[in-house]
Amino acid sequence: VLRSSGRAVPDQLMKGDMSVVAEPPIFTFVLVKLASRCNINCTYCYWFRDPKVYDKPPVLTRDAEDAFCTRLEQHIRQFRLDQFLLVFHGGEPLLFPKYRFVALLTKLRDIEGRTGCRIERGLTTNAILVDAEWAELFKVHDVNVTVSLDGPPEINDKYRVDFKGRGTLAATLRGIDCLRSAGIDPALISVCNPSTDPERVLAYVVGELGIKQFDILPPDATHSDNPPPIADYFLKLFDVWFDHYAEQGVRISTLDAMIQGLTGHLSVSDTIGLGPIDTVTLMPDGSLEALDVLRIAGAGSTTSNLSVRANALQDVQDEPVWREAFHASTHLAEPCRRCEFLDSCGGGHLAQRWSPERRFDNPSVYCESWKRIFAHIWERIAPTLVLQYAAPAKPQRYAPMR
Amino acid sequence: MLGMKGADAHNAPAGDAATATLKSTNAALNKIIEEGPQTAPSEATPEGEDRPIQTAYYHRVFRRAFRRVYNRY
Repeated sequence: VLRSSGRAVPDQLMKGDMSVVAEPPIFTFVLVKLASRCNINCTYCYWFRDPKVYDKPPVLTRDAEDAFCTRLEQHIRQFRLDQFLLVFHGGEPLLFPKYRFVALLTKLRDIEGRTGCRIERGLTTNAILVDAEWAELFKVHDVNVTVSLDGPPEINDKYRVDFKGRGTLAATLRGIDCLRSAGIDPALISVCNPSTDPERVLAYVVGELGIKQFDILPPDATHSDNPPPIADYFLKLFDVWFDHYAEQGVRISTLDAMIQGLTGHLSVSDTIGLGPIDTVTLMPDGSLEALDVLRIAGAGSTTSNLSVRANALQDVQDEPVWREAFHASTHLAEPCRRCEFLDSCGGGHLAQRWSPERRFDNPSVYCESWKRIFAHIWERIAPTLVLQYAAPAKPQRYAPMR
Repeated sequence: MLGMKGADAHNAPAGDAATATLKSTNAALNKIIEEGPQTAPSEATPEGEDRPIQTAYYHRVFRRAFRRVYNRY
């Protein structure tokens, strides 16, 4: 099989048996939960579907923070890493006190200085608590900021509400203004509601907010949730983007991943694409868990006995929940292994494969939608594709799939 | 079909040495395609290299939270 790169694709990969990546990697990414609580009450949030999060400390404890920094430095030294990624997350991570955030980032700088490892830092926030001080901290400490926002008021404020049911968009926009005043251009991430109009979201995000790079995700759901299909939403999203926004340089990460998957590349998105899931999550009490979204499977579904106080980071590779997630991400359900979109889809998001009966041994709960979306995108992009050969040869046009 | 199971590039010229690059005549699509990770997981660590090489495309990055480190536009 010839890919666009001209390389042969391993047979195992083509068959959905990814034994080529069956061994856990050396971790280079940790999702750091600075806070277990949130200042708003989004209707679709996966985090609070697991009531066990209320058993955790409200914010990362001091001793967990210290132990984590020690473990991180040990890990970097042991595996001689030159790059590591931390993403600060919640709940709402800005519930973590500013002075402690500064202290944490100073410790990370010190680790960088001692090890030579570049520790990249990102943070996802609803931006409601962002003020000039926070914005300055992000700038000084080189923290990349992503803001959660779902679109114009009639969409965002229906789902992203406070504890009194009031919309939060205005407060989020004030936070974005603070970031921009400090010279920070935040990324943006949205959750789609399939009953809304993606054209309105694009017009708002690009036209009114002036943001050209963002992502729109399907709602988190398992097979127990019976969510509405997302196909019509994403079909229109793609068409509107392709016909009106692509040439302006507008990029939507999930669409990027689908296009890259369809054109023979590996997809580096947890939303869609074939590849292993190896996320490690540091909880506010210092426990180490698997991909945090998996907690939509129910109370305590990601609970582990590992802690930075007693365990090295790499010990997570033997933790049963993490192990199951990693294995499931590289061993797809039988219908997926037969699917023509195997390479591009990879079974979708791991959490969306969950059912109590078969655990992760399912296609995505959005499988039928994804198939329609992939087929539609291929139909639109295939007429534009050409293969150019290193050896003298005329470019040859691909016919649309049928 | 590229990126699809069991795909064969029937249009490829004969000979094992052929190397093909996929392009799009649409500039926006072509930019996305060119930025796509092109190395299969099994190729992520060069032979004889004892230092663990952690490459971005090995992972499905946790884009839900953050996506600009490995995919800065």
